[in-house]
Amino acid sequence: VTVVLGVSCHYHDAAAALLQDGALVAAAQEERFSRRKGDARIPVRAIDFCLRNAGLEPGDVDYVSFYEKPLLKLQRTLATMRQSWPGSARVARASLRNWVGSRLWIRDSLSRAAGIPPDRVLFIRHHESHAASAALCSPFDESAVLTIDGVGEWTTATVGTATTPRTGGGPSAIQLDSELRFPHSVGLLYSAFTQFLGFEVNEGEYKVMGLAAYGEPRFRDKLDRVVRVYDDGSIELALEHFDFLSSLDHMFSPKLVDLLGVPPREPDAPFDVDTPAGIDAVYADIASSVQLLTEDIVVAMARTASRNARSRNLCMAGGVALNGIANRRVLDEAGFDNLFIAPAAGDAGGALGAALFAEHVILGRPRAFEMNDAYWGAEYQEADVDAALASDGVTAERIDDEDRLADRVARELVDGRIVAWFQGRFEWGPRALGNRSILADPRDPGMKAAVNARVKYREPFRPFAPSILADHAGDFVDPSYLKQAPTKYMLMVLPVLDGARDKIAATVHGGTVRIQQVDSGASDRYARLLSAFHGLTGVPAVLNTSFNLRGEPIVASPADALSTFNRSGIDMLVLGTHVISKR
Amino acid sequence: MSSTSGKPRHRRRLAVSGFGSLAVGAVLILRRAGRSIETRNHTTNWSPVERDEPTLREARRML
Repeated sequence: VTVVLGVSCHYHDAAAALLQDGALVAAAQEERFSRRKGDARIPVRAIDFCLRNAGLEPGDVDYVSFYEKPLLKLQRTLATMRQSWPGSARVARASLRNWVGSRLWIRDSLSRAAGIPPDRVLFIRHHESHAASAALCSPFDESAVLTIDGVGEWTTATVGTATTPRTGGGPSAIQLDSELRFPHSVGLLYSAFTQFLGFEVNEGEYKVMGLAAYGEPRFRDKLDRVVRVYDDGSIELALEHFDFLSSLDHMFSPKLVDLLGVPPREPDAPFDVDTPAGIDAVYADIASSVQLLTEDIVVAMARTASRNARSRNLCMAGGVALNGIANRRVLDEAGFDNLFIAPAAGDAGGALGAALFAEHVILGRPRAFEMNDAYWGAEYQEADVDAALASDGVTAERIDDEDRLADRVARELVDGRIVAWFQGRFEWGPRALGNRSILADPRDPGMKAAVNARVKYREPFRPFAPSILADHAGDFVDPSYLKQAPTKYMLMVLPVLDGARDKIAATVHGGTVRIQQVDSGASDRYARLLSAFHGLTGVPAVLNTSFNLRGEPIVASPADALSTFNRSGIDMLVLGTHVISKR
Repeated sequence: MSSTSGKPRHRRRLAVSGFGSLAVGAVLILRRAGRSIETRNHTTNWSPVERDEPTLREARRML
């Protein structure tokens, strides 16, 4: 058995993923265990989980595969400082402290963590890790590849091809042909506007996408002065509008403020929604404009990938591939029949991509694995649940009969209660897909405001997604999209069919939904719950949002679940077959 | 070497040459980095990806 451990860390979203003979065994982000949102430190807890899950110990690993080339990144960091010196002096101090303190010694740190000699630690280029995280998880034997993020070493986007035959089909190859280079970056452009709109970089990008639905893209023309977009999707940022070369705190410059003619929104300022007015309407228009610009760029890049590869299959990865509206437009407009995006499309997914690249491209081993669900995190046993309940002094009702459990929870949802649903292994990627979820009745349009205010404590404009039984999803959205994997992972935003909107009103956002179709095979207990709700209401869907509070990672353990339950307005918690109610 | 390395003057000379090497190394890295951004920073369109064959030896390198 060959064991390859993939690791990403030192920027944001540190993670580990473990392969045994090319098959994924376990994958998790460090933040779930450390309870520190976006934890970037070396993922010792996630590594420990992966090893334990596989029944291995340090020393049993054959290779550790890291998701980037650190010294290429250092080269870019030094070059950026040199170019913007002396303005970059403060950035330089902080950055060099990081490099000298930990980043330079990553080979030794990983070799120690995995208990193997340093020459067994491999370094895969950042965008090759991204590309592998999609292509080597996809159902395709060949595909075009498009990766887009903030920045890897020097690269900010790539187009290429992947030959990834499954069992018996020969070796795999991932060939990235063209790249965009720092500082010309779609991800950094989007993040700069995320910050302008008062949200946290690397966390608030979803909020920009959510806010965009409330605005009109009337700043779109102005943004042509911020970025030049070539017909082939390559871009050139007008750098005088950005500060990320020389500042720790600011991604945009006063020139961007002058151009837009409005001050940046204060972080955490309250929003006037659902009908933004005054300055909030302007911010919604800016969000709408940058969202449209991003979609246009991504579609143009995907067309280039299509011309380059002459394939009808596209694999996308990188943080920008989490933009579900752009993903739908890629499928509609870029000349592809099939689109695959893995549930962890961002930097965390690079851990898995690095492991897969080492296994199939570097070591040349044949490929058999295909990712069909997102449940690769830790699972907790009855004893863990019992211990958490005892420690909290909570009495739970236990319902072992699956149908009775589903019926009981479905009735609570019908009665307007908000239910936290904790089952099996937690999800790989930023989305809760029915194993660490907060659920509510999607029919009630007021439920969106209720969950945002009572449970999530977040901005009232933030949308929620529906989980819909796969057999019925075609009643809500155009069925032709439903063969696409991103619809299983909430990675594609689709228009809701006329006549279906009222049935899932709390999850419709600007006439669209970020759908998760639920296959009964992938999550049996969750599918049973949806069926029970369908039986009671005629609607085969529930509102599904991640089981966490604002600013916290999604819960991992039963103890995390109880803590979150106790600090929020959630009415009921279901831990496996244990039901705890606040009534 | 071992018989003289303990003398203060020799230790000073060693320290100076050590720091000198470090300084020269840093300058070389910075100059290389400087050239890199000069050539890369003005790329306004897709560039061909430059990389060596993805072999085990190449994957062991941090650069």
